[in-house]
Amino acid sequence: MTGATPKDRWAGPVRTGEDFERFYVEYRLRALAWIHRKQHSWDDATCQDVAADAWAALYANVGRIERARAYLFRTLNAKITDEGRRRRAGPEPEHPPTERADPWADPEGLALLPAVLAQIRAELHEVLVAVHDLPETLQDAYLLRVGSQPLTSAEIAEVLECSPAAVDVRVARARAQLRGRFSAERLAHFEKIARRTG
Amino acid sequence: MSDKTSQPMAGNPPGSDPLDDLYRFIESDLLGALAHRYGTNQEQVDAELAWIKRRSWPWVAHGVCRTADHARLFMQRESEDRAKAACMSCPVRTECLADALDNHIQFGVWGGMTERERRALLRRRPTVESWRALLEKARAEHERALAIAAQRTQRHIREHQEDRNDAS
Repeated sequence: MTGATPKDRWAGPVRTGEDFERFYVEYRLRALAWIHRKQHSWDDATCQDVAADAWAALYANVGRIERARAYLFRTLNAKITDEGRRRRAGPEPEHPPTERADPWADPEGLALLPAVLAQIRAELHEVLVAVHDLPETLQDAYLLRVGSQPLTSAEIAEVLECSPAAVDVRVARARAQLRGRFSAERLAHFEKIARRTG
Repeated sequence: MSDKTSQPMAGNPPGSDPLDDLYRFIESDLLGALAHRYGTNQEQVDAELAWIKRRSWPWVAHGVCRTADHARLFMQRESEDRAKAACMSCPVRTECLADALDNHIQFGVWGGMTERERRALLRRRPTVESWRALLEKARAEHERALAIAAQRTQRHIREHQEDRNDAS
């Protein structure tokens, strides 16, 4: 049940500045997505700043990083925590950012779907809500595992600071909880959609 | 959670789950939305990379641009003059310019020079191996020259005062 692809080169090291640039191009949006999911009330500029801090830390350690993706997501988590602390400790901003819609449920994003897939938007939203309702530890492990460039158990363990066995347990629990949210008929329907979209 | 739904579905390989597949689809949709929001053109990605590299160097904490919007430094050509003017009073101008030249960073104003000016400088001096060493040496010589000039000025003032005292 690993589901991880050993082919992704960024499971390995970032040796040079050119490596770093390629890695950035491939994972730039995933890093932003990770921050938006964890802190969906932050504005875009703050998310970009936090991401830039994490990428800068990575760039400063080029040549010493053995597992690029694990390093990136671990650093993102650390920077998100730092920014959260800084905001809590600092004065209230004069113009607090307006609450923004969660990008995972962003209707603008869904509008980018091809028209033929428009009919499954409601189902997508249902799955999205179910994933967001997972406890954060399960959600993190699950999303790092099932994404389009899934991380290995060892990488996720490094990100979440737990053992690889604990990662597998969390992913299995997340899957079980998600399946538990839906009836057998609904799951069969999802299976049909998954075949179409996959 | 019902027992009948807690098992992987029939027909799926172990570890595969239709919800996983759906989630991958959702993720690709989200990334599409973010690409639309943040932009993906090459110039923008290059500008971001330049900004990230600048942030990674320790001298950045002392730069006058540390709180500037990166778009002003890297994206908008019309604001180059303002950015260059800010560099003139920056205490880490030498380090900034040296890192940009040594690392062939193409975008933005670094150490008071625009990308075009840096390209011209690199073309004029293709044999320089370390701009950091060259610029630091130049700065040290400049500071030494300033110190000598200051000493001379002080000596002249002292001699002038002594002459006036003698005269009186």
